Amino acid sequence: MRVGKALSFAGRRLGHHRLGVALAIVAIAAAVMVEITAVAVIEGAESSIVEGIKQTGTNWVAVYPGSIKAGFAALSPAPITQEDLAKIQAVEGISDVTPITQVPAYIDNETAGVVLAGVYPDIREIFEYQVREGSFWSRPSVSPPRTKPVTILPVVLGYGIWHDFLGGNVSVGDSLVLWAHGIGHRATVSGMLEERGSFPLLDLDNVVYAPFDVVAQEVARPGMMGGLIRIIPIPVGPQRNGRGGIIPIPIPGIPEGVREDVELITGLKFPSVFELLGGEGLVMVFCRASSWEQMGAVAQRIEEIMRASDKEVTVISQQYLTGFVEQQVRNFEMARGPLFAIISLISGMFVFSIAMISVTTDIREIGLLKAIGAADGDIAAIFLLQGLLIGLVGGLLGCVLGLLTALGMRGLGGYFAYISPDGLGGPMIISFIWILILCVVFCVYPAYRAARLEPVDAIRHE
Amino acid sequence: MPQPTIEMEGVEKTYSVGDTEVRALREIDLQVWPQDYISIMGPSGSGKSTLLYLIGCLDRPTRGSIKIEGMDTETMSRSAIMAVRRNKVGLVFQRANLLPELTALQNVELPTIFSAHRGNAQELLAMVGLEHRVHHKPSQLSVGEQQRVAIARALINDPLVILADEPTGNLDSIAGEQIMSIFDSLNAQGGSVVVVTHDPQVARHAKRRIMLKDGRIER
Repeated sequence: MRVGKALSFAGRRLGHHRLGVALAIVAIAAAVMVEITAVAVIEGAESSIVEGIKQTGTNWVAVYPGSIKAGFAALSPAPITQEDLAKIQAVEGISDVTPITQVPAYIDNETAGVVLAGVYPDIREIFEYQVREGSFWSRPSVSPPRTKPVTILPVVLGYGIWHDFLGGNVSVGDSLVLWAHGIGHRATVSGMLEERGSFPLLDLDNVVYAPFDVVAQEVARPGMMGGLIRIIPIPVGPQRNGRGGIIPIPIPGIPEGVREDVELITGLKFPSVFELLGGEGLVMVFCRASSWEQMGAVAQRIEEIMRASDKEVTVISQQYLTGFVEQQVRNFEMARGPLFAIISLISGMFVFSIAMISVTTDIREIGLLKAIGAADGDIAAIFLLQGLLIGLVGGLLGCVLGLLTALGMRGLGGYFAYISPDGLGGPMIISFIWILILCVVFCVYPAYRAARLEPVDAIRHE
Repeated sequence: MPQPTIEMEGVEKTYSVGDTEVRALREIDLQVWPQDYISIMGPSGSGKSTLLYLIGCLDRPTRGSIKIEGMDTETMSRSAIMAVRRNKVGLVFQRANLLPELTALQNVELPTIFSAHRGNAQELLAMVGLEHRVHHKPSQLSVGEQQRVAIARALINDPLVILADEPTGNLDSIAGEQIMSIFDSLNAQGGSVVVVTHDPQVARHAKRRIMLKDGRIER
């Protein structure tokens, strides 16, 4: 048999059942497209999340009160105390450590993702911040516990705060008001950070950093945790009145009674920040392992120390999180294969159906071909070539559509920004070859049926 | 001593229709010689087409032997029978049975997909008077022209014998005469032709006439 002519003839025969063939091609193309798109999304998401986690900082390890095993829903996990913090800090392989408490905030009615976070200045090393202007406060000046008001409330502004929310109209030394639950606190901008980025689990730009104990005691007090902090920019220069403490200031539009509240608050004797916050379950500790390899060991040591103190904590390291995501991606990958197999088998049924229809409706033509010299194998080959052609067209169409869909999704940004056509070559080739094999295999039985037709019966068929 | 191209001896063909056996052909002895020109006539159901299909190896006899150039088809494998069909006989049916998606030229070339022969389809179409219609599709040809294309197709593999089953049955008398003159010409050039027909006018073109009745040859 002349393969070129036979291929051409098989292609022409597909025209007998245009609608059915078109449906089969669409089904095949859809299966391949879904596969290519799924690969692109999974690979892209993996790259996005894993790269994002890797870029969030230097070998960080996070410690949360409560245990995943016990369920985070445990209402009152034992708080992490200052004593615990000291133990964590003493773990071999840890170079920096900070507790973090954070409350949602808003600036000029913009609420999207802005956070006021109380931290130690170690946060700079842990998350690899570059200070654009000014500096973080030094830890000794605000180290807890403390029973008298601080004399200054320095804040460091993330890139998203000073650049996007405040439009760049802010400098070191300018004042802001942190307005929380009827109380205004004057804060002074002590530093502004370079852009750090927004990652799947952390937004490192839309954040206002302030000393941990101040935020913990005087801004995010118990009972106020769920409240929003309003940050009001008042670029009037540094605080000058020297009254000490967090200075209540009159703000246009804010009722007079506010100032009385502020006086009352500043006159309180505050309890330990850990007593206040631990019970709320909002304190977490971030620390930095001295190397990527050390992270696992550091996390394990922290868990052991906490367990020895009868305290349930959850320790998540950057390394663990990366591995966790990679494992989830592998799980998706494992699910993707069978899913593609099922979808492609369903689409293969279209090919089978159209081939069977061809056998039953083109009997006379098959008889004619036999009468003019086609052998059983020739007839079978024509049917298999038809399957191959459907697979070729459907597979190629699916690859192109899958690629275009993937690239289109990349245009959406976010998780899809990491979608790259470079990684799709292998899956495209594999799915294309699979589809070709599948289409041919699904034509084997119809081809056999056609080949076994007796020419005289076929010729006489009406 | 010359050898018949096709030799049938004691050939019978029986079909089963439900529980009933229908004997379509009985004790057929027939030789087709080189440059032979035979017409097979007979009433409907007399077994004319069955006989033609047996000669063309489209079917196998229930009993008896059919030899093609001295080789008994009974001992041939399925693929060998197909090779005989491909290389030794050319079939023309009552209906042209052209593939509608192919041009006249492509229809004539169709058998060459399955064989090593490389007959010249253009020449064959010219021989049947259709050199100006080579790129026309069947729907653009008259019924007579379609039948002429079918004859050209039957000739593409240079067969030993042309077998025609009611080749003029769907044609008017003029077109029928054109077809028969082609067969006459083929026979004059040395080809063997076997034509099944109802029409005595058609049968008259043949050198030998065979009458079939109830599955038997009446001479």
